[in-house]
Amino acid sequence: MLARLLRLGMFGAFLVVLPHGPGVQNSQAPPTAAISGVVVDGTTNAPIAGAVVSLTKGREQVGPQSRQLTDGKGRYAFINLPAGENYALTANKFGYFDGAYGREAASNAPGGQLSLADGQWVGNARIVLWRPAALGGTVIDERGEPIVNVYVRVIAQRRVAGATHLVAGPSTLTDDRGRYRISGLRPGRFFVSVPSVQWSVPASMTAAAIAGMSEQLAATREVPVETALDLSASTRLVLGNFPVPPPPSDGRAMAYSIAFHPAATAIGDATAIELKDGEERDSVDVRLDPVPGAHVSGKVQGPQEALVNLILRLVPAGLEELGLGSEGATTIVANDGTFVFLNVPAGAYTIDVMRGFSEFVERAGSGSAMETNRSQEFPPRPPGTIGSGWSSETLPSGPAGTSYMTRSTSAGGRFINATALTGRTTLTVSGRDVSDVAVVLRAAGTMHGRIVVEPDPRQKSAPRPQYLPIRAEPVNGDPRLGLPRVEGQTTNPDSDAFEIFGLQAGRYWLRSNLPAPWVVKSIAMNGKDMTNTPFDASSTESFTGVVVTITNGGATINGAIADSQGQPAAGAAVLLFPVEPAGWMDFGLSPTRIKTTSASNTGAFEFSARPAGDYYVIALPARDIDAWQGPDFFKRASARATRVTVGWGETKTVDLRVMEIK
Amino acid sequence: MTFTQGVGRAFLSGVLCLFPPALSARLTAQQPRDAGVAVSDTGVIAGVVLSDDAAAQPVRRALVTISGTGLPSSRTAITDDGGRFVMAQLPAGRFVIAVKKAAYIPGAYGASRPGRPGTALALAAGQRAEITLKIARAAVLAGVIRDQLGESVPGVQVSALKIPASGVISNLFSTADVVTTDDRGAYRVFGLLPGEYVVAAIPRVTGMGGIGSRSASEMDAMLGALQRRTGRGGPAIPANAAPAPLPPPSQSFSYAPTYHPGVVMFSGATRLRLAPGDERTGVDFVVAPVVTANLEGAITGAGDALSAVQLAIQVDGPRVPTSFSSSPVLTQRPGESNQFKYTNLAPGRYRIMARLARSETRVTPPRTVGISGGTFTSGGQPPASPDTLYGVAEIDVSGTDVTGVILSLEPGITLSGNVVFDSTTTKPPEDLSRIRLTISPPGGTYMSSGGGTVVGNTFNAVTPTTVRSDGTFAATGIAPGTYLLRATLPADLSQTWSLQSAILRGQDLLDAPLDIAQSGDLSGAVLTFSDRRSELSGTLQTAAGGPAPEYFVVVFTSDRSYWTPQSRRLKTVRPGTDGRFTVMDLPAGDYLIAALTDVDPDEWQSSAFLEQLVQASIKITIASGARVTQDIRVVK
Repeated sequence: MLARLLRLGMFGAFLVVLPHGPGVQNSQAPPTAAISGVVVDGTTNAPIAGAVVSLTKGREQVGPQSRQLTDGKGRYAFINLPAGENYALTANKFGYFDGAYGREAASNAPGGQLSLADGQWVGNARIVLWRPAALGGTVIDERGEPIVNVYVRVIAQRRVAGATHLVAGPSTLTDDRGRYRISGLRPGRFFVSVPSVQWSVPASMTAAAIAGMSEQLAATREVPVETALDLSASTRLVLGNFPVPPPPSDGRAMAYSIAFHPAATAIGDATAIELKDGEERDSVDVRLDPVPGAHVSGKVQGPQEALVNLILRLVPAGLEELGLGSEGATTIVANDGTFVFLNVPAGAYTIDVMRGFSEFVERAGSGSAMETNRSQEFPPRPPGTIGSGWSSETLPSGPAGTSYMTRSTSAGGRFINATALTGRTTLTVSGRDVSDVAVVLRAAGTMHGRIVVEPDPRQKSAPRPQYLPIRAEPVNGDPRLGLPRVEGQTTNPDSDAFEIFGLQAGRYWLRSNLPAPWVVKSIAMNGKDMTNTPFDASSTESFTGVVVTITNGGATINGAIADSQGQPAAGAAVLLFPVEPAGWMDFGLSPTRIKTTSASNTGAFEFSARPAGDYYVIALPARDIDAWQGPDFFKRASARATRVTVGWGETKTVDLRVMEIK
Repeated sequence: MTFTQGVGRAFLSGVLCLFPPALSARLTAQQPRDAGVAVSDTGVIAGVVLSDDAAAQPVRRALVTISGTGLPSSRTAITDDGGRFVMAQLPAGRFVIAVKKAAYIPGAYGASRPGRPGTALALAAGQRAEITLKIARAAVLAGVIRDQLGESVPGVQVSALKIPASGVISNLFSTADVVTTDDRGAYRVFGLLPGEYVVAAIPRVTGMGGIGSRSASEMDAMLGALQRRTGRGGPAIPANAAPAPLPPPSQSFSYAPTYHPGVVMFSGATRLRLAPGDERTGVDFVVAPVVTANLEGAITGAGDALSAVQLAIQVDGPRVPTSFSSSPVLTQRPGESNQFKYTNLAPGRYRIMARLARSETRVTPPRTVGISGGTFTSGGQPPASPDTLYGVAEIDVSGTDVTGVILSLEPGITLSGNVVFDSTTTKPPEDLSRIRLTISPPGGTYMSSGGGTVVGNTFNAVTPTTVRSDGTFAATGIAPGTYLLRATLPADLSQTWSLQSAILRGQDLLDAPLDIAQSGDLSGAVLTFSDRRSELSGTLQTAAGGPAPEYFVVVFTSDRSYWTPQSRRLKTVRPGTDGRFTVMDLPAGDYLIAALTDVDPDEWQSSAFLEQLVQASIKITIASGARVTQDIRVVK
């Protein structure tokens, strides 16, 4: 399931989606089915008192008593329930990740559904909750004094799209003692960083423009005046919640580089912290040492209209996958294309020119029950960003809590095609000023095509999907390649044509995440079948004549799962994946032929609206629902999986036993 | 505290008002700056930043910012390890010098105490000024949030709410310092300015409506009943169909916003007074689910239009950022019957208002949009019309169901009157229909809605009223409530005219909010606009006769009934370096003037404080639109 929310306007703006009113069941005889169970801690197995257990049916709250607190023994009971198939249970408790029936790891898997017959009592619906991990420490400067009110952020290493990526993790600010604590972490490998972006703005820029306010807006409200240092005649350095550097020494401006635990300025020299479920780590301190800063100047070469309010990012080596807030410096291009980065610490960098900045992010906590304070959230908006928008979506091919986020900026108050022109240059700074850096803008690739809707006459007719979301996904998820898509994500429902902008040099999957029962049947490019083959935008800039055929005649694979004793394996994980090894890597962000689901309380499972083809299907312990994301899992699982060949419109039934894959 | 004695006498004069240059300097800070430095700009301001305490240590990495005449934009310097800074190449002029550092109270050159306004520094051409700036540590609030089981509560938002001098608390959360508890339930808010604070925790739990709960013994009984019915344990289908339904949980709970020391009603919150540098730790409290109650009642007076009746509910205290889990839920709305029912009411004082807009008004569908920190809903409100009916009830709820609440619909109130123009020289404007009157509750109106429940005082929104060309006006369909009145003039008129008084039944609506109850229309209001602004000016002198810029001047009405926060009859001003002070727009009346070495912005408008000043004040009278000069001399 892919939920995409597009947000424009203010940074941190969010939409609240309200549940519908309580669904009240009305039937002749009073319903008498019941579900009861216990909520336990995943690490200690101890019952959890005071957890809130919510019962939903088809995503709606069930009746006026759909939420319950567990008693002192962690127990709950929902009674007087009508018979039905799609009940689901979730549990929240302060200090734990959200849990769900059938979810046996700190994942975001939806969990298993429960079906109830008339009067049936399911008395063993156990829900496991996992404690997040946490780390903390002190940020000190070269004299050992605490640095107050600066950002600290964790950067996680995660497997996404079958490759290891850096993921921008949760952040906080140090307190008045220089201490920080970041909690709500899922198990994994982390770097702790103190960001320090040298924000340059033209000296002519007004306070309103620095604050990203139009002059009209600035006339009606108070304009926050950023503290800025005069380090050159043409450019000023704006200080945000980054460490305040020492005053210039011998006329040389000083700067703090981005820093990593324990005292590194490059991620390659940083010490990683490994955290298990619920683990706490103290004394993850970061020490900062000031270094002389150099000026980096040059010119962006490109059409005049592309230079308006263009923000340049100077990104340290190793952090190229990360978005805003991870730079060594940013600046704003003058109308003639010239630019100056002030106060750049020594190091290797990439200059990145883009209107949209994508990265993988993961947030603290579990979201719903543990809202974090958005006002402190990283990254701060760079000065001079006139208008910004962001979009975020969860990742079917990444670990729980990870999402793909794109932030974009506007030029002259109007949003422009986020990735139409891009440029990238690498350079090394070693304490001396660097000038005459040339950054050449290059037009990104485009794709034109059309969608053919091919209803399957054997299926009951389904209305054509209202939206046909078509997009290009980098095969290994690389955020630098962006997520080029049909502009606005909304195609004209009366038109079959689509147009994708912003293809970078790299390999992409063409994907469409359609609402069931619709599924992509085939993709043809100039007569060549590309349904299960990525396309390469490195050499070709323009793709035309692409035909995407969609159908409501997807394949269905279902069955029943038994445990080692032959009993129904309630809540077991089920994994579906293609037989050919080429499909086990570079599968993009939302692979159509790799799917997981959880068995219901009766051990039943179903994958529907799948492309026809040859698949392996395997049942796993519930805790291993995300195990396929690890290296070489498919290879190991294929040896013990059941092979199923299913055609368009067909249903195949397979019965499985739960397997442990070591 | 220093008291004053008057010298000289009040007389009418034509002295011009001079704004301190510091004010205009701030405005120029937004202009583009000129990179060039004039040859004559050789002035220097240098100095040291020291901690404002007995030890007085140098403060390193403080940001010293100067702005002023002759500087196109502000300049900032960073203090070195000795706390020292240098600003060179300055033109002659007057400069405001500010200093800040994280976890410290922002300071200013010439400030009498931490957080107080400073004075400008006059720098001659080529002069080098050596100054000392003091900066004091801000206060800290810290504690641990636990739940009803004594376990720490991570991930909960904790807000330090500063009680404003005005006492208006409805918008407290909008300016709060907000932190989130860590995995040990600990929070720490730093950088707090001196003042009075309330600490609030807002737990958020997924979903809407109440949370049922059974005790361990009730759970044992429940599971026992299930076992008997299904025949021993585990999943089974009963042999005997259609057994009787089992009892639902007896009580419903919700996680409500909670104030230190662990109460859900704002009125029970502890007020913590913080001085500079205070580190108040151990501000621990428990966030526990609270027993919720249902509220049932009926609408009367709706005739056959029951389904058109709208309901809104509001709880006493500051507006809490939306948390649907702890909000009331309207589970039964009037329509088929005149009955309504709310569930999930945490303890508190609720105000429920019903509205029936009878006339054919176009209602724009509500549109909920996200904004930073919450949601608001626009549209959905038909403008009040003369025949809009309202019913209101205020009910205290504390864990027990309330029934029998009657919302009796009565017509909205009409406020009518006329505008007059008081001038001997200027002709009144010809087109009076360009004047608009705005009537709104003191904290504004707000609304959030979810699942069909409207929370807020949105029915108190009054459509702006346009004055008729004959100078009469009538604002119709006003719901019961408390309101402030403002007049909006087009730009060309507002330069000349300002609203001097708004008299209704002998009361000036500009001095006290208008309390509208459902007791008949209010007519005969007289709104007087004048082209003369009163002006009180003078010089504050030392006993020796020199200027006394280090003092504050307080001007306050001698009528104690106006000693209310934000009264337009209470003003304070800091004299310029030449000792001159000016106070504009005081309404006609008798006033007292005092001079003080320090004025606490949170406290000076209180009756207790003003009472202390009476004896040592000079009495003056300001006539309508008069210009009054009053020099004062400080005697130690």
